[in-house]
Amino acid sequence: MSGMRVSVDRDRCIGAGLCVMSAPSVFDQEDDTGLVVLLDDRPAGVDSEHARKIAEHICPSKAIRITGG
Amino acid sequence: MTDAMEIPATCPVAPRGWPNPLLAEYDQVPAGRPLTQVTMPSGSKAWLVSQHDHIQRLLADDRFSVEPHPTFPIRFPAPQELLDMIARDSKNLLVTMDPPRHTRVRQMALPDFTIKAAEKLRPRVQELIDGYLDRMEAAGGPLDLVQALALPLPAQVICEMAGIPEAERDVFTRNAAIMVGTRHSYTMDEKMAANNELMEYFATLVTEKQKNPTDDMLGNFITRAGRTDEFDHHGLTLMTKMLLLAGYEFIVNRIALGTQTLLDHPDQLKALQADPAGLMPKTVNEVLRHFSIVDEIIARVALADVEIDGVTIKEGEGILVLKGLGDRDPAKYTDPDAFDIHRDSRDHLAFGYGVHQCLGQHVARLMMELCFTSLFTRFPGLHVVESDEPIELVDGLPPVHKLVVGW
Repeated sequence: MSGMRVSVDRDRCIGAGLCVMSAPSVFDQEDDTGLVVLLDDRPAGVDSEHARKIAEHICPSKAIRITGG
Repeated sequence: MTDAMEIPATCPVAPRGWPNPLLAEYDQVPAGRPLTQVTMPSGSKAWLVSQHDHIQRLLADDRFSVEPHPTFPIRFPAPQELLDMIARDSKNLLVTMDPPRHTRVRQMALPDFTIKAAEKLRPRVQELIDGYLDRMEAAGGPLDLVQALALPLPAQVICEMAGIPEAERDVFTRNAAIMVGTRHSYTMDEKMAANNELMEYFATLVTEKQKNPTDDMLGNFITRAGRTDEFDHHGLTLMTKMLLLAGYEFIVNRIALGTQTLLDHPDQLKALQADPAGLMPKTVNEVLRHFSIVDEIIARVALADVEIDGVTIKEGEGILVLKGLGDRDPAKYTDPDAFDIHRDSRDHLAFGYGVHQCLGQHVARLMMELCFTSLFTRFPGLHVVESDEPIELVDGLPPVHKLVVGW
């Protein structure tokens, strides 16, 4: 298991939803607001790879942070 | 042929030059695509940004603004009257607002543009597509796919999202088609007349929804905005125009361009049909990446000195983001000019990047997906009839004017 930790900044989130498209078991969009909800702060396997790519290159508002791993 | 809407090419202009994306103006970008300084018609300085990495870093940087500014990079010599109008209207448009106001206003619309909200539209969008394909089948080919599907579908979906009554939809579809220029070379007067008629209609629509709130995208936006003092009536009318027109031309073009490109790549189309669940999301992203080239370029102005790769973009200088080149950046994508549905194109720039990334992108994706799936399932023998120049350009305005297909 990797030591990766995911955190999200809802003040930066613009609700583009791209994190949910790439890793639906890690991220969701809140119905009322459209903003990100973190489902799994320690994703493993392929989800951890997706989370890293999302944080670095896909999330347009840089609202996802990866530490460790 | 000339077009009244054509902008004098005194500086880098929009990369409208499909099928050759590299217009003469783009020659200003040297090999290797470093940040390149140019002088705007007004005399102000701006930087061409064409590397994928630079584009993502700068568009996600809070020190750049979209709001009117004395040195904002405007790509054509604009009379003061026009600049004043832009400055006035921009106060009421999401696309020309900086945070924190942008954040507040985007959130008024966002709940109706989430992935789940777009998914709720799926059965109805499919029903509409089936209807258009029924009519195609009844009429018999060959016929123009732009007129038969790509143009009317998004117009109807937008009308339904806005809760526009059936009887009033003609006002929208007729004028919107003129505004996006998809049918012919309309003159500036015709475009202005279409704009005026639409604005009058949207004003009455706003009034009606304020009186009798409706549970649809536009109705919800107007209700949420009504709980604040962000907009007056004219502001809501301008926002309505933006919400209903911003993505229209984009979707029309992607349906036609995607269909034509898949037909041009039969091996990839076959792979897609064998594994639609696995390959359709990738295909949609690849169509988006591949055709970023046909869009407007994105402009910003620096509110502070910004260092990037040894270059200082000074406070007050602009950036012109050539996202079409960013999405064909060889440092980012191998063999970038090739269309390849197997590649990972998720980080394309077609919907922009940063806080202004396209609000309606999931609705656009849904329409693209369902059109591609339905067309190739219903008409396995679909083919382009005008093979020499299947996509007709009108003076570099919208790239897709006509796509004649048979089956």
